[in-house]
Amino acid sequence: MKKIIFFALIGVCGLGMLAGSMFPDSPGTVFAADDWKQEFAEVCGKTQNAMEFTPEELRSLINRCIRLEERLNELNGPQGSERKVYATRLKMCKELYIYTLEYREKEK
Amino acid sequence: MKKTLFLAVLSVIVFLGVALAETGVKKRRPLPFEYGRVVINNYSEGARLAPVVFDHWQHRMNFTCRVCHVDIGFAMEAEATDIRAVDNMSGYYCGTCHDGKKAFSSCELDFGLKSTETCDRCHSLGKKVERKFDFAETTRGLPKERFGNGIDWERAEDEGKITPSDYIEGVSIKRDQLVVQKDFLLDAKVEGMPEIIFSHKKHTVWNGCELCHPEIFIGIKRGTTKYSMVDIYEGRFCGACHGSVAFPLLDCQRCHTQKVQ
Repeated sequence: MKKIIFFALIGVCGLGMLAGSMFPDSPGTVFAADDWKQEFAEVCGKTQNAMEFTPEELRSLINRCIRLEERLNELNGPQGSERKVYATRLKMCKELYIYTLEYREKEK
Repeated sequence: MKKTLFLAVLSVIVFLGVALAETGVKKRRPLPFEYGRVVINNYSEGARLAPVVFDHWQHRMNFTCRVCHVDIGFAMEAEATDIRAVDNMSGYYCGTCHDGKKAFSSCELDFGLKSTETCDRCHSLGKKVERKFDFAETTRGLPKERFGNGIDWERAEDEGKITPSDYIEGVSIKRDQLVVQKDFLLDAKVEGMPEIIFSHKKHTVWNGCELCHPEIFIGIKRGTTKYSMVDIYEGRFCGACHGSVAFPLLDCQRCHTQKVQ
């Protein structure tokens, strides 16, 4: 009996994995996708206030942009269009923070 | 008599020669409905389609510059975006809005099989395609200007005649209220020419910060970048928009506003 349950569980897991690989955009992978998008929204949603940040805050935002860039580079396959668009958006946002940081440092 | 005739014939030949040798460097000024028109041909002709004709006037009535050039990711130069049909079909670039729900669908695999009518709505260079929105009809009630599209877009928004959206659900980021930087004065180089008051407020309301800095305006400290009208006419600095989409450079007094002391 235990053996049957064991094999049934293995079967269920196998089916789950198969389904996951057949539908890469299924809810099972949504968490990972949303994860970087949420970080993107948090980092790049602050460009309006770029001039209000201290150099330390700006450095932290730039580092977060760099980490996000690395994560974006890992996206491939059907997400190619998404990566292309977000890479452009992220670049604009990172460069604004770098520009503002340079301004702040020259101001001193 | 013969001499006079000879001179007359010679004059005509010289005149015609000069006229025909004129290569013509002067560009034809676009008509109001053509102003801001962009032709995109990254992959169109390769796919046996006509290049895309994009009219800025129609889109700027409904959206700020930032929505398209920051949130959607269109570059500021024509053909620099590398738009592919697959991007549009995946809901990016034109496909962000042209998804068959918000606006007519862009780039579907079976379009060509049914008819080319839908493709032709965008891929229309050199074709006689009747636009759904007629320029004169659509812009009839908007305040007029002398140049460009012949419309004062800034006043049109101030008077509530257009309400360009700065947000697309699922694409734009919810941002805080913009902290507007101060306006500043730029000296004109030509004696007697009124100075320029650059209004951050007027520009950021449509563009945000990252559309202009640092890609268009890289100078950190005021006064370090020297702007010349030659640069601007060549599409740099203010010329990135003014001269192609925003009011053109012929309209001197819209920038050179400060009275000379």
